[in-house]
Amino acid sequence: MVEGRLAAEHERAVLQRWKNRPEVIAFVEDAIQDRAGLASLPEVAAPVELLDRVEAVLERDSLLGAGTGEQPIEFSTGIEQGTLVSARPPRAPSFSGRRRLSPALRYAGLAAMLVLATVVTFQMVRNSGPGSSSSSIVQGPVEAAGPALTSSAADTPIAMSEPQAEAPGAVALSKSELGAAPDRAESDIQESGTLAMNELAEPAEMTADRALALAREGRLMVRVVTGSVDRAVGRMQTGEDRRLASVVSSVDASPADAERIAVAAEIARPLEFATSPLDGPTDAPSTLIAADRSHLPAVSLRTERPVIERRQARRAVARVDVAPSAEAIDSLKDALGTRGTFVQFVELSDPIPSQPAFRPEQALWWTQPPSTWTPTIGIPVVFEQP
Amino acid sequence: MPERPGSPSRSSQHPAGAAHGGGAAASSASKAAAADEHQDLALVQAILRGDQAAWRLLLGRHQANVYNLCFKLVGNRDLAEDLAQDTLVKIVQHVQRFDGRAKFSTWLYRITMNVCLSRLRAEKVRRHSSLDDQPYEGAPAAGSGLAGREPDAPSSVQWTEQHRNVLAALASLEPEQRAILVLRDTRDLDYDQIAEVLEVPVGTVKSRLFRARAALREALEELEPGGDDDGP
Repeated sequence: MVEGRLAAEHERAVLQRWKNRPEVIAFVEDAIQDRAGLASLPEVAAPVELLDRVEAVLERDSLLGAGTGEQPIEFSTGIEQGTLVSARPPRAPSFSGRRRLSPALRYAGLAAMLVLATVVTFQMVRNSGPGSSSSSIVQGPVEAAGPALTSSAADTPIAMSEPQAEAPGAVALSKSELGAAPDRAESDIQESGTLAMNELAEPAEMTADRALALAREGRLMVRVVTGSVDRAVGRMQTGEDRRLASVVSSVDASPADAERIAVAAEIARPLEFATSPLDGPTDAPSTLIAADRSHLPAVSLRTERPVIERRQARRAVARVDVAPSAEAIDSLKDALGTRGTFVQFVELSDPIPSQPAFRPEQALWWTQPPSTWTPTIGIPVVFEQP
Repeated sequence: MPERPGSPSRSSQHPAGAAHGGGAAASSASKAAAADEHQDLALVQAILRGDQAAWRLLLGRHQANVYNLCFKLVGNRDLAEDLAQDTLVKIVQHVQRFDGRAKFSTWLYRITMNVCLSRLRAEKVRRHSSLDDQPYEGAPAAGSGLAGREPDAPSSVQWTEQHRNVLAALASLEPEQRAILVLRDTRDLDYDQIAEVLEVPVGTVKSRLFRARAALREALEELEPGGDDDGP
């Protein structure tokens, strides 16, 4: 009677039995009424953003490696292809969209670089020998270069086998900072065949389009040669420079990421820095930064203090997020290029693996629906003070 | 049995009315349910084959059902949304465990119930430990005089005083009692399905259902001190 219907005959028999049990009849009638009341509860519409929230949670869980630990079924929201990356959450390997070279190709590239380095070094040694008439651009402000390479290389993760005698090799810095020297420098380079390694990779000024293509592959580095690393880093950290702040959406470099960038910068470093008098002793203080930019608008939610480590002298590295467009990359270069600063796009032979530290609080942003995300691209920036 | 004045007719108000009405209507509902189940299975198979678009289709088909189930169990819109979200996430994460032996809807109800009951039990423990005798946070309080107060539900839905009282009474029950009443009376599951969802024997379902009805009646009478002779 409450849960279903009895056959008519059976129902009559039951009612006959209950004739003298009014409390039973009352209970059954109440139960029927209550059941109807429950059944009449209106159905409410599910929140429109419910599925978006589910997607966001799944994305976050997949990034954090959380959940059940058994996710053979891929839950795709269309952003795994590297075309869409949240401006707010940090990058993750699976979303980087970087083209990875095969190990064989990478080793081949490294071997080619070493061969080139050997040739260049040999040439430099020959040109800088006693009685050599080589007129290197090092006759400029960096002429007093001391052969600091050996000691600095000792604590460099990937030390190039550059001999101490390679002092006069210089290209990039002198082009912009030596005034009349660049023309002479270029001719000297051509005459002597002394080329910095990154110059081999980038013989002409790189276009923004080319830089964008490299950035997508993780093979772009922005090299900033400045008179004061501290000042340049400060501009990045504080966000006071509105031009810079308008281009860069976030600044970050985990210690591991900074290490990789530093290694890549070391490999791509022009030779003159090995002998720069300002390179100083190998234990000179310098910084690797992971800057807090949480005070900036539309900047990732990062609250940790900048990570300061003692690394190679006069160098600081960061990874900045910018919009993946040639205009944005060009603007970044312009914004970094203050007076007395030289900014250069550097093509790296190998992509820098990006695997920044991932903190749970960063995943908060992943609760935002993907439709609110904007794509960004991470570019390593190396500040060097010669 | 004569109906009490004001008692809603089962055939008009109970969702099972159509299904139990017999004849063509029951047959039609049965066919529709079978078709739905078939579509669910097809979507699950598509997901297992790697069809990414099938996710949204499957979840979209059931999100309202899951949300409503959660809402009626907890009586709180925000909490129901959280629980529905957790449920749908678990469905995605565990879909490979669905072996097709049970109906997909049954499997989905089981996950929903597990998520909701876990939360309700945890909340009950929390309330006990804090000596806080308040009803579940956000749920309409039994005897709190919900008349004149908007229920915690989307405003587009017409909520009567009866609905408010039923929801409040439901919220005052033990989680297991709520679950069995909601499954039986708002989702029209039969005893076997409820037993499968709650993973208890059918006999337990029957006895628990009886106690739940008695508890609900008691709670409603507390909310209606003047008796219920006036009907809803």
